[in-house]
Amino acid sequence: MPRIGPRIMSEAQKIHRYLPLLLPECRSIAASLQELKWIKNELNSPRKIHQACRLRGLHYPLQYILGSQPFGELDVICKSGVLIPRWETAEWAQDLADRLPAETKMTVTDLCTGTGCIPLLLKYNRPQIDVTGIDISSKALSLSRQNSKALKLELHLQKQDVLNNNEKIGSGIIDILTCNPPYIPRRDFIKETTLSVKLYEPRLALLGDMEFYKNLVEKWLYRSNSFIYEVGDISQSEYVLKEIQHHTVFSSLWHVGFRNDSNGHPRVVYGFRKEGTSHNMSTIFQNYGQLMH
Amino acid sequence: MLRRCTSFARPGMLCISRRLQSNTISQFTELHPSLTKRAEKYVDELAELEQWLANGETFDVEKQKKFSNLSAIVDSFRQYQNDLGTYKELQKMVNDDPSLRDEAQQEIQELEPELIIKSQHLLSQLLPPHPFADKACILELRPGVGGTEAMIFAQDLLNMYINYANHKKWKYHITSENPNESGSGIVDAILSIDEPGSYDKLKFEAGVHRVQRIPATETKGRTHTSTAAVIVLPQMSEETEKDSDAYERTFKPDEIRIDVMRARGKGGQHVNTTDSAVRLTHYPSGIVVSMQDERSQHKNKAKAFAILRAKLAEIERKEKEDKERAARKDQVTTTDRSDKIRTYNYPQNRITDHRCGFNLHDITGVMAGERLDDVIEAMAKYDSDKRAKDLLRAVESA
Repeated sequence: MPRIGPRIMSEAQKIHRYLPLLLPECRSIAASLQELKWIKNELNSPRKIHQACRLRGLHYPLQYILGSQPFGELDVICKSGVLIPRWETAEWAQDLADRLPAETKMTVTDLCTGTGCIPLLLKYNRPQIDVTGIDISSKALSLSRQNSKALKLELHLQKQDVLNNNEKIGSGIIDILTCNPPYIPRRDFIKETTLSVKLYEPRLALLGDMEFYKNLVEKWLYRSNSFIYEVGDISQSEYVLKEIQHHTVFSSLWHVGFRNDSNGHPRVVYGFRKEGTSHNMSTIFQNYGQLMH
Repeated sequence: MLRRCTSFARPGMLCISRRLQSNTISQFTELHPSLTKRAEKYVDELAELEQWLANGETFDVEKQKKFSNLSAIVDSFRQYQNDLGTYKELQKMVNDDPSLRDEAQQEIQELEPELIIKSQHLLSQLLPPHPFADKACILELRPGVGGTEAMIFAQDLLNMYINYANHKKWKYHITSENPNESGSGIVDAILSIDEPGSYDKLKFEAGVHRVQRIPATETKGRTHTSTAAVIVLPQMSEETEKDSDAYERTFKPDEIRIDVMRARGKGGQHVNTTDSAVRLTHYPSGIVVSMQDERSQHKNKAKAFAILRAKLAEIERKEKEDKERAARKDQVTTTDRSDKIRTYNYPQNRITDHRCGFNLHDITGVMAGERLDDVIEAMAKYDSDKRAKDLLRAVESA
């Protein structure tokens, strides 16, 4: 990213002495002023505000500084070491929550749950459903427990390696399987992620390519009724589509669809069983995205 | 006024003032029968409502409100009728009984002004209430001509309304505020006053406000004239997410467009943005609402929808009003949004409302929100008088 010109810097300095600290991350004076307002709103002592602005100057995420990030209607606690929930995730999760039947009991399992934002948002909107979060990181697990307590929403948690020990996770058929797996390939990591993400967010939650999508087709499809996986690239959606299309059994059992976020980027690959489910999945997923198979 | 004169006047003057007063007696006219009929309808309605309230076990806020409104009207109607009865009897005496004529004449003179006040009061109560009279309101402020000084004045107006709300002990919150980048004044601001009925008070604030003063930015001591525009909208819903979601579903997908942050790059895990700005575009009306004050995109969207809803409601009301006016072939000029409604002249310490010609020499008091009520009440009185006249004319020509 280009450096901020000295003229803008001095202009910012005139408005508020902390603004030049915020400029490298916020990029414009208007955005910096907005952030400064939020920082001032949530932190009370001048020393803390100064400290926060200095950290922002080092591209440290605002969500770790203020300790929270809005996710749909929820305010999710954020801590260093756990991925910060993104608005794109909130968007598809909120839409999914609105589509779930208001009364019916269902089971939802969220893999790579991180802060627990996805299952908590679903539970908040549909209190009758039963939600479980799985993560391999103990930091993530303790944070999601904290979030579940703070939001007063019941969330079952299990520390497990999704890729290797999937058979130890839960039992029986899962109605809805959600997952926001690490999906940035190592070769793209340096080039395509922003500084703040690269420096301060856990690589465990970021770096990955097809592992989780492969794992989905091999281990999860036979024991779930539907799945919603976030993707970072269309190739990941296409991989899942191809695997199911070419599968001797799943091909006739499953529908697969793609969904874009409102920025126009491929964001979700989802699928559901054509029949044999206790809930009518095709009505839930009607127009959720574009059906490909 | 004339009656007060008499106390200062010499005895010889008395007859003059008396003569003038007797002129005003002939000026008093009974309310038009159709208006009396309207009032009688309210009496019946009140009786019905009383019956319902006496029987009903359930408590209905709407009905209670209606009850208190109706009983106020009926009260003043009864007083008016009472006085009118006495007045007629007295007049009959003047005509029929020469022995009592003088006394009756004197009583008429005493009764007369009261009767006029009562009939005017009743008339203003009979006016159809404003459709948003019981709503809370939203004030939108924007600087007009005058550069930075206009921005500072817009900020001053915002502070004035905040002070006014504080003075009235009304709840309010700033929905959005965009400060001028150089730090003084505002580019725009939206202030929500959450008190039900505040729309009725503040509706006359809509229009262009003009300021005449030596700006803080002026180096040579010259007086400048700048303006700021105020838009007053009714609050149709709360700024909550649940309300906005339900409201969002009432639009067809091709009527409304919701834009969020458009970042370059791949989005998702690749970037961690704090930008939560939301922009709504309503195609049929061309209204665009941007909101970026909250960290939560969802809250920004809810706020934007609340503003959109208020704007659409106001447009609808205006259209309806215009249509009614056209139907009546009214010649009455209305204040346009572009008309300046008020001047704040600092050197003369004067505030003038151009619509009703009201002057007040207390800038600090008004800006502190303490005496804004004086200006608003003058305007409210002017408005109800004007509407009463319109109503009378309409009734008489019908």
